[in-house]
Amino acid sequence: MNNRLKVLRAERNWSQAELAVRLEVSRQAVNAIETGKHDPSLPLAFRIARLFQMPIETVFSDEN
Amino acid sequence: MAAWIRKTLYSPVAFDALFALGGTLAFAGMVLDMRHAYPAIESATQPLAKGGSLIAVLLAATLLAVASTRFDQKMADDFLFHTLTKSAFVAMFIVLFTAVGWHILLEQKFGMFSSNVAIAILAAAWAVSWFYTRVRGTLA
Repeated sequence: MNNRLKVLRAERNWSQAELAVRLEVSRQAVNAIETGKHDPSLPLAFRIARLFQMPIETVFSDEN
Repeated sequence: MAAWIRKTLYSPVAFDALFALGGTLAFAGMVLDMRHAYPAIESATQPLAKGGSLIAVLLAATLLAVASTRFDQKMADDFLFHTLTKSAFVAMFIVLFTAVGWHILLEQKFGMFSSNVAIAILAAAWAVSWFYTRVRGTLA
């Protein structure tokens, strides 16, 4: 699954640690999602979409 | 309190330290215990009572494991819990393959290993698969 997390975070000038605090996850979790090493669970994906005020399919896509 | 536990105890870095220590001890214990002969098991005088007791212990352990895993899932974030569970799953197969591999290839030469070594293999396997999953990710 692809995601735009890194781009969206950069647009807001947030560090991985700042984003992790906002999402209530570890910095390592943010890093793993950004680098494509971990697909978030559905609840976390919704939390991410809500934080960026975007539809979930704008943040995540299943296209290669 | 829950937030403190989540942030300090349930962080990937804390588990890195835990598995580094546990894995090192397991590898050391495995090598040090190799002198011991495989312990012979006495035949049970009351096999039904022994079997029933074992099932009772297993069921009690199941309840404890389910409760503690539920707590882990509540406290750990998505990535940490997924890493823990995937590495545990991989570790289970490492133990199985190690036991079979040893039995086929090396048992005749070196003999069987003790039940203590079997536990050390499980701990070492979980540590190895934890670090593999941490480096390669939960999708690898």
